[in-house]
Amino acid sequence: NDEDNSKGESESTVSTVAKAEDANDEVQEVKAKLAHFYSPDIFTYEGYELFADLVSKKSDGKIQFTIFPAGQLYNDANLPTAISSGQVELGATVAETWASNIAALEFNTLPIYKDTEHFRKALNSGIREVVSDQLATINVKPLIWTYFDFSYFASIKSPLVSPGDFVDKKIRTTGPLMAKFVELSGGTPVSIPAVDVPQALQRGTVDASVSGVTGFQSWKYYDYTDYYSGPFNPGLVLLSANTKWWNSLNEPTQNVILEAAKETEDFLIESHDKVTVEAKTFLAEQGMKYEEVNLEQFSEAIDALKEQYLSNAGEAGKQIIDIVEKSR
Amino acid sequence: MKKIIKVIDSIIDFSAILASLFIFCICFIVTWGIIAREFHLKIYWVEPFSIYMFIAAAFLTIPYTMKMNEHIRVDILLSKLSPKVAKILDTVLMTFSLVLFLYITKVTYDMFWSSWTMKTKDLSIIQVPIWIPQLFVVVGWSVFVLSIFRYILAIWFEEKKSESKEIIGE
Amino acid sequence: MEYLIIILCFLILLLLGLPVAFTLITVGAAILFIHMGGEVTSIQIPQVIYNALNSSLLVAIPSFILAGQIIIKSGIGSLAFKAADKWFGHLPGGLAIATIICCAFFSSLSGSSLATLLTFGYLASEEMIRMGYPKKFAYGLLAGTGTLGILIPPSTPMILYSAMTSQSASDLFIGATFPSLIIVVLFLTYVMFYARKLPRKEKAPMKERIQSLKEIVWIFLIPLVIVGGIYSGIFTVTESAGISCVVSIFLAVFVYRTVKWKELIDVLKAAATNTGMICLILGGAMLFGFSITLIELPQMIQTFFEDINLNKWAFLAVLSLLLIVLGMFMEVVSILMIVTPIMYPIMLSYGFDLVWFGIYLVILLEVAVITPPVGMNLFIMMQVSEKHKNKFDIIQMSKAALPYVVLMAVLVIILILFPGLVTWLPNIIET
Ligand code: NA
Ligand code: NA
Repeated sequence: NDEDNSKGESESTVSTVAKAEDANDEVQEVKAKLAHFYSPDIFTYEGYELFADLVSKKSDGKIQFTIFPAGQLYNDANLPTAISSGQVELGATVAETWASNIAALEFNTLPIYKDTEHFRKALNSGIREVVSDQLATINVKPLIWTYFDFSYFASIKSPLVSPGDFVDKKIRTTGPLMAKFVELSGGTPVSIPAVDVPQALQRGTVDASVSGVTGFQSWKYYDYTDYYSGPFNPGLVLLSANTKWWNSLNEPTQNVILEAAKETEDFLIESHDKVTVEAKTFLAEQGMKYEEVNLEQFSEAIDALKEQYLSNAGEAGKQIIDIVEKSR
Repeated sequence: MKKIIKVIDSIIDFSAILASLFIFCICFIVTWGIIAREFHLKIYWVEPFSIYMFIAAAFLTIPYTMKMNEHIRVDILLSKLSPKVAKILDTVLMTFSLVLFLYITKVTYDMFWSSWTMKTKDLSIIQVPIWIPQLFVVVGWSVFVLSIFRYILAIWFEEKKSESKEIIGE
Repeated sequence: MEYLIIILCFLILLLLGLPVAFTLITVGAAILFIHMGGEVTSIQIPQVIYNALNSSLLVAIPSFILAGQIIIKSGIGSLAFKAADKWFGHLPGGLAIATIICCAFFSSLSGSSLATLLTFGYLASEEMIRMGYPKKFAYGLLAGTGTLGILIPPSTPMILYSAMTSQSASDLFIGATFPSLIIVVLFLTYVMFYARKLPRKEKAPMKERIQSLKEIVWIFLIPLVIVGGIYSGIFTVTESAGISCVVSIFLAVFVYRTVKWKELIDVLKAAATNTGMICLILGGAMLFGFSITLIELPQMIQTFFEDINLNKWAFLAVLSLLLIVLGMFMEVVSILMIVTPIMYPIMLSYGFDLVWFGIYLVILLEVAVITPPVGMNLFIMMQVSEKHKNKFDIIQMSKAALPYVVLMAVLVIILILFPGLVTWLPNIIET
């Protein structure tokens, strides 16, 4: 039964491609859905609106993307399956959510990057290709890569700067590797729902929580935490397309979308840099103190973490780590 | 017919008891999670386990809710019709439901199967393979289909239960 | 046109008597099938339903229901009512005051509204009628105060609302504080005003009063542990559900010894049944919500209201009327699940606070429980009246409950005039 299904699918893909070849010099009429979970107050929201506008303009209105923002259709954790199974044509998610199926996609949650420059260089020196190949195996094609600022630990009472500071602290983390990192550094990783975090920090149910500076700003962390320390690991958001849908488009159509994607990516990077600086200034104004962390103090934990990553992520993971080392 | 109803009943009851035990466990697991956190013990399993037990309990208990006739419906029309017409209408509605949930069981099985073959894991710290909770969903729907079948049989082959059924809960 | 057909199909299936959850799933699946084709639909349906329940917030629901069920089974409720009677019975309308206070207190232990009514409905109304209170007054009072269970935290509808709108459950619980106090005061005022013509009891001696309090002193352990635990940061609001269950099991099995381990399985099954009922509607409502979002129905409704130039307040009036009408025919969880996904983006665009909207919704859901023809509390009190051998029909019972509908309308108007009564406390506590 399953075999029948997949055969049916591939046949239908072939036929659309064949149709596309008949008129391959013109942009096709395309309607598609784009889902993401960002609310209007975050710059990525604006970025994806721009993407839809650009695509429409460049195609004289032939390509129309309907955007479903703020998790209206899928939340971050469900979106990967939705894209890879073709329930939605396009979607933007945090890169590490793909780790459900491809362990190598957790690479950005490792605290092994010197700074944003280093991370960008590594991405552009081959990581994009490795990741794209991996995602292709589950019918996904990444189109827009948005770097996010590094994550930090926001903490009450005292900043977390050395492994000693982690001891006996309850720290809210969001992913397996970050939790492992906290544990290896002597802390207790805790997972609680995002909506519970403000109260948990305020009442001391947890002592610290991980997020980016824009996250601290929008969740009003400055109201109940005094410090943030880092940087630990960079964030990465991928806007990806389902490959079956992508392959059903002819070349001119794909080119229009790729062109718009490139412009959107530039816009997102630019806005990101601006927003991050603004957020840091804002947090300082609100009295949240920033403490820089020297990651060398954590080398033992980081090595163990790398090892665990490599054992899950296999060959692709090894390639990624090599690229990171070379771009240092 | 009575015999078939009885067999189905025992399956439904078993599934409800399993669900009850899960709910009982959830309370203690959550409480243990709080205590363990106070003492800085590793309790990564608490959150995913409590969620998956909840999912299992919810789906395993849906058939029992059907048996107890507690799926909420607007019976203004049904209560106005003559008993015979009402019986026929109810049968039509439930036969439709039987087909609907047979379909849902099938597609849920497909979801389970795809999670199994793709080895999809959740994003929790202990990375539970998601076919495990999804298996309970498939089982829950399967028993639910049985319980709808039982309901249709009961419309025609079982005497009406007494009216003074105790109403409990929301 | 399409939207109209959807709404019509929905109503027809409901009125024919297809269970609410089945209707939601059928209509949701049909929309998906038409717009996405069979292949995608068959992937989407199971995933949306599974994801609807895959949330750590919802784990609190069976626990909050279970805590209420255990208290019903343990008989602690009747002891509490006796105590309240001893303390307030001699006041004008004393028994009625005792009833309101007991209901309010037990509402703070359970997440559902029926648990409270089942604990006190029979007992309190029997006592009032025996004392010579008019039957209509006694039954109406219980139907009305029985609704407090979902407004006074913890509250199952609030948890469901929080899961659907990403609002913090504890903000909703805290936001409900003043509205709960106001409605209790409104009820008390009405009762005392009415009570001038009611018979009074003799004052119980202090010794008896103290004794009655001693018997129930343990029950105060539950709110003490929960409030203490949340405020000291030992656990979160959602985790407190687990604790309140463990404490009530402990009280019922070891302290009062009124529930045996064997009976516990029945209580668990009853809690499970409720969970199953709520979860199937939740799954169906999420599927329905998913499909109407996909075809942009909420946006369409929003544009419609904008086009006819309806301002914020007129919109709220229309919405309130709509909720009252829905409330006549449907039950709490179904209304909440159908209305929330459609209305919350609209409320947001009109600039309403989403915590405020949650509380407003819950109050109108309380109304739904006591309006005919479908009103759960009315049904329960009809059963009670039948057992008392003075059977009220649905018309008589809803007339009896009417004053409480009016009082809740007053509360809604107060909250519309002073939204700060809801939003102020969560903000204060957070900063
Ligand atoms: Na309550
Ligand atoms: Na009603």
